[in-house]
Amino acid sequence: MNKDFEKFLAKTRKPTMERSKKEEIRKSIQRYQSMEEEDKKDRYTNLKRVIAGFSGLAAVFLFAFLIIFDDENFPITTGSSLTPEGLQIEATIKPNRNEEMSHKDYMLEVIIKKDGNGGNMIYPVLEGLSNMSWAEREEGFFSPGSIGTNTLDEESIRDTLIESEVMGVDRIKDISQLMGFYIPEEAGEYRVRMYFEDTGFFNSGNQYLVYVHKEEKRFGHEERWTKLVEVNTEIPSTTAILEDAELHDGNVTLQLTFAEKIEDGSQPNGFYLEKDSVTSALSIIEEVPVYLINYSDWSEINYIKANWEEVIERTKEEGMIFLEIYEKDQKEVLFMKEIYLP
Amino acid sequence: MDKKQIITNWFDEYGDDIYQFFVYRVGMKDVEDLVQEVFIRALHHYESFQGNATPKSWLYSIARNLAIDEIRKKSRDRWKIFFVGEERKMDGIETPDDLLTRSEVNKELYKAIHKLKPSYRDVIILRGLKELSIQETATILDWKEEKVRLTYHRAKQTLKEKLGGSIYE
Repeated sequence: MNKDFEKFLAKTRKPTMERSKKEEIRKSIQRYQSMEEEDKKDRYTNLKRVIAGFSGLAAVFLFAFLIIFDDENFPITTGSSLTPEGLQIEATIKPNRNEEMSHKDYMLEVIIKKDGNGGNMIYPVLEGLSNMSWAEREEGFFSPGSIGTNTLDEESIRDTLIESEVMGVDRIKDISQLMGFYIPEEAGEYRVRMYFEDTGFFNSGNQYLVYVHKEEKRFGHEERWTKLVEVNTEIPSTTAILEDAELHDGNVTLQLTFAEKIEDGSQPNGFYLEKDSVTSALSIIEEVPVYLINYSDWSEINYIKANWEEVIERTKEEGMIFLEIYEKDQKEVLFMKEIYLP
Repeated sequence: MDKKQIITNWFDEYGDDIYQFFVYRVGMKDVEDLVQEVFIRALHHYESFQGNATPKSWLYSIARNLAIDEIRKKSRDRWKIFFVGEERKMDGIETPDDLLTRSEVNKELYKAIHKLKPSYRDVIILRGLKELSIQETATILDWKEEKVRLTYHRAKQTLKEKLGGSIYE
């Protein structure tokens, strides 16, 4: 067994450097020697530079003195700074409709309106969505050159989430997996669209975006504040009562009675269901994710990812279950979620 | 042969080995700067290279020290940058991202190696992935050969547990 494992390790295909990178490194090895020689020559000219440098420093000090203490004539930034009140963000998760990004399941569209200037990083804190990326070119949308995260931002986000009490401690622990992006510092309206893979998204409503504002002030001081924004979801869904289900050859056939939610303030959920008179059959592949309510924890409604055998079992036990069926343009079922009706 | 030519030959021979060491050890895929630094350091300290180590072992030792520094630096102020051009693939070139994420086995192994403690990670990369001898591994890590054997054995067990068994069977 150990030998097998050793073979497996040794035979694993390993990444290799790109040819262009190799060429660059080869060139830098060649260049290095000439740099070494140049360094020797440079040592003699350095003294001259030091003397010239000292004279220059005196002038710089005088100028810096003016800049630091004359805020009126030498403001550190041009234009007004952004404040939390001057920042408006609207973020919406939608099913991915971009054919070029067909390997991604969802897209997040963000509209940001800034009435002031300032550096920033924006972090989506999304449950069940991972591997953020951008399409190559999308007209009307800003595309940042890179994405990333840093420890200081993660601390700010953690503090913001704890103070706002919007999510459980367990999820806050996961935020080291965050990835942020930036938009330009200048005031204006920016639209950004990014794409995600489904790693357990079930429309929990527990989706956020944290804007981290950073602005350099005098003496290296950095002003930072954060703004937490709730992310909306725009995924069409229908409500149905699952009467029976059958699993065969990787497909699931569901016997459903579709229903319409009628708003009614007197009902515990704020609506009641008006059922269709007929039952329809819906066939889907077994891989369509389904989430059931975890009845073992009543502190709040929470969900567990289930397999279809469990759904069939619960349907048989209960006689029926209520489902919310989320679809992409009424063509493809994205996922299903049990709903609770008291 | 002048030292520039010797180091260039070493780079041609061991460049990819050092690159793979960094990818698995540091946990980043853009490690070309570190690879370059290894060979620049080798050039700079060439006079101190002793014949009692092979060039390969010597280069791995430099790489390991650099990897430790890099990880320390990362943990002080972690700034993980990933270029957005994830979707922009170059024709015909297999990037580390492709290789490490295309195959589920590679991805799982890569992730599992990162969950190991540093000493296990070192020995798994050198002995397991790079198939260096016990003696070479001991020289690079500055350990006794017995320690290499024992640590490698434990590291394999831990890695197997993290992989869950089914992936390599």
